[in-house]
Amino acid sequence: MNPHLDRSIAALRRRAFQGSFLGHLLRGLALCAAVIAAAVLVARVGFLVETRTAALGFVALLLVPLVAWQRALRAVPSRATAAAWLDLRGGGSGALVALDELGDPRWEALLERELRAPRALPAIDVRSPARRALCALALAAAAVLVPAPAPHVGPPTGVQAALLESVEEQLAALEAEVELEPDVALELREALERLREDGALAEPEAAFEALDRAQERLAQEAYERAELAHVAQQALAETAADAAQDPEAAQAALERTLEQLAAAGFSKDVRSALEVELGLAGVELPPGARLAAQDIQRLSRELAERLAARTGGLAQQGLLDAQSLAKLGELAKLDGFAPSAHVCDEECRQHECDASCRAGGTCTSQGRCHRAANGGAPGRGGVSRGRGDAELTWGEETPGAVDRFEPRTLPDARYADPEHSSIVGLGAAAPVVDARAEAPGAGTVQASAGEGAWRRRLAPQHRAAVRTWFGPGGG
Amino acid sequence: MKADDSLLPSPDEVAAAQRTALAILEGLDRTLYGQAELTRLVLTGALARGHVLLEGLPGLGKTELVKALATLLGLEFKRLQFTPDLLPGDVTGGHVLEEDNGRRRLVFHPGPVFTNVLLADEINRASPKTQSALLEAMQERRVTVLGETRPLPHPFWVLATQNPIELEGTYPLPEAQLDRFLFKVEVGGISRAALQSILTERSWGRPPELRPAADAARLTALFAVIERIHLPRSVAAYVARLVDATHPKSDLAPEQVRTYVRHGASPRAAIAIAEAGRAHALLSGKPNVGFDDVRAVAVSALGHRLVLDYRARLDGVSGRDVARAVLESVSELEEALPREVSGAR
Repeated sequence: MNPHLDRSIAALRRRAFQGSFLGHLLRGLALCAAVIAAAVLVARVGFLVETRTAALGFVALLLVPLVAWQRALRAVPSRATAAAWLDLRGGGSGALVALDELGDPRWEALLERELRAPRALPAIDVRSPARRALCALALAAAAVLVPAPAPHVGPPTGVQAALLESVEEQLAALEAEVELEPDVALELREALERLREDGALAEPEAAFEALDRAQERLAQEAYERAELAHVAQQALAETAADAAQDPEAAQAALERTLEQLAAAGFSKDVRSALEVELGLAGVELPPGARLAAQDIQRLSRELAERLAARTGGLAQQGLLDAQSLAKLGELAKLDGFAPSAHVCDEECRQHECDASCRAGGTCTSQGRCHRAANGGAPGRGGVSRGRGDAELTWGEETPGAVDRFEPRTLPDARYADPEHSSIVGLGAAAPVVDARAEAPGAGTVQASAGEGAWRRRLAPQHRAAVRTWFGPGGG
Repeated sequence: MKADDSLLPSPDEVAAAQRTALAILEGLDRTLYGQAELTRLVLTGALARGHVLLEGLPGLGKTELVKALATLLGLEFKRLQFTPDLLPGDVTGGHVLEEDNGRRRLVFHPGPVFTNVLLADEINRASPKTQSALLEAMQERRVTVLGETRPLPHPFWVLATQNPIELEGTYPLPEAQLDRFLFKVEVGGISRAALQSILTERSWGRPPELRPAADAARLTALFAVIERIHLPRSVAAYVARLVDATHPKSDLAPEQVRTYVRHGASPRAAIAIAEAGRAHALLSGKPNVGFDDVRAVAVSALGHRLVLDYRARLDGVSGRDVARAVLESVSELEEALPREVSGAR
């Protein structure tokens, strides 16, 4: 082999390797950097992954040179191809490839002459992949440096806010009816405050679960109070009944009930009852005081009425559901807690309707809040198949339909009207025509059982007009 | 195959053979003014021992060129004017009943095909039947008449001329016969300067007297050298790709081939390009076939071997046009250099 030729071939193969390596490297960098940058961006913005953690994805770029090296090795041309390329650069005489194959020393002079011809090695051009790689690296930098948007802190969503407001109203109602223990009241208030502040941050499901828990807790507190009131009412009823026979025992029972009611948060009612009936200001009878049987009976009834009113108030505020009321069904039999006390009158229904329509909707005459679908606009559909109060608008009819149904006078349909007839055939003899039978709407057709309308003869002159109504494209 | 067949011919051998070939070429150029490419292609075909079909309008010197070649080669030459009423027996010869000493017997009288250089003038004026009489002679270099096979002299060439088939009274050569011609060369018009030279230097356009530039021994040596011209693997692969690209279903086929070609070139076309490339390389004094030699002969070797469809005729596209498109589209390199290396083909 000619050493000069060997060197030329080796140089060309080396140059091809360099070019291929650079090309694969830059293309690989561009592709991988773009993909990883997109992933990093999504991770940072979409999943709130920390920048440092997300940027670890760029470590995968270290594999690109290795892959490029492997692929560049495969792209190196064979010796024969390199010799052919050099030969073609010199005009394609075939001398280099032939002498590279055979290596005949008798033709060394020809080989040297061929090799003396100037053959510049091909230049490496990686401008295009370099541009793409630069763009991808810029994207990668942007993916890391662009500040991720801060989590949005805002008011709770509409439904959450409405529910939270409802729970707060229930808490206020419960506190208005009974005196809660300070720690219980504080706990409930703090829970609602946390929901108000962090509701938007939390997952919707978690927020709703917390609201449900708060509601259940309020309902539980209300039920416990109602149950205590129920038991107290029964005890008071028995006390009132026994007062005439054993005033002392009745007074002792009354005092125990008073203590229990005060402890259960009904101090206001106890105080009020004592003040009304006995002119006392405390929540318990003075030590050594002896009450008459009539006083005990009056006090017991008064207290029972107040407790019944209190329980009714809890029910009106929605703190006692149907199930709880069923459990406390005996309350309805007590004096002062008649069912009529819980029947919502017109004013009450209006009040409830206004409350429930606060988020939108209109109150019906039955006191129900009607929320129409799609914003309540007329004619926007919904489960009720639209609304009857939608306005009927005129003047937007299809123009074609208007023209089609425009009234016009049809030609006379009598037989033998030359102006509106056409020749369908010629014969030697004059046609025999039954003018009566040919006339439109003639009586030859039996008009029986509705057939008359269907079988009326249609004059040819009128068919075009009928087609505009019933023909293709007609109305 | 000889033991040293794989070795290149020596520089001296190549130089001697080239001198002989160039002497013949010089004689051809003296006969036909201003047609250097034509004479080089005709000589290349002759040196490759292939038959050549010359196509051109009357009066362009086709017959004179063939006569000059036969003279320069120093070989026997016969001319056969093809006409519509020419019969196959007029070409191959036939048996004639003769009486000798009272005995009658059939004696074979050789036809004009029994020669070294046969000028088949206006070959497309004969009927296809008569044209086909040349098939065996061209391919097998022998003639069979009444079951008796007779070899033709060695070397044997058919140099045929034909008028463009658009002219009336012509019969297009069948594909099988076209395939047997190594080259189909179009004889074009000549320049005004060449015309002036003919007018000023020749009386009645008569060509100069030529003397043979070769004899049988020289020709044998010439052919021996041509046989040893080396065909490198890279060049052979290029030839194979070129022929493959003439097939419409090939992945190398350019758009023109897919559009206009019904059947691509046969393997005989690849052999023709290789052999013609050897002869062309010898004319350049090279011991091997190069890419440039292939490019020089490919169009003439491929053009008439392509079977074109009706769209080619409608669009006025010839086989040579398609062959040029193939030559432009197929890369000489079997394996491309990486695309990042600019200037790589």
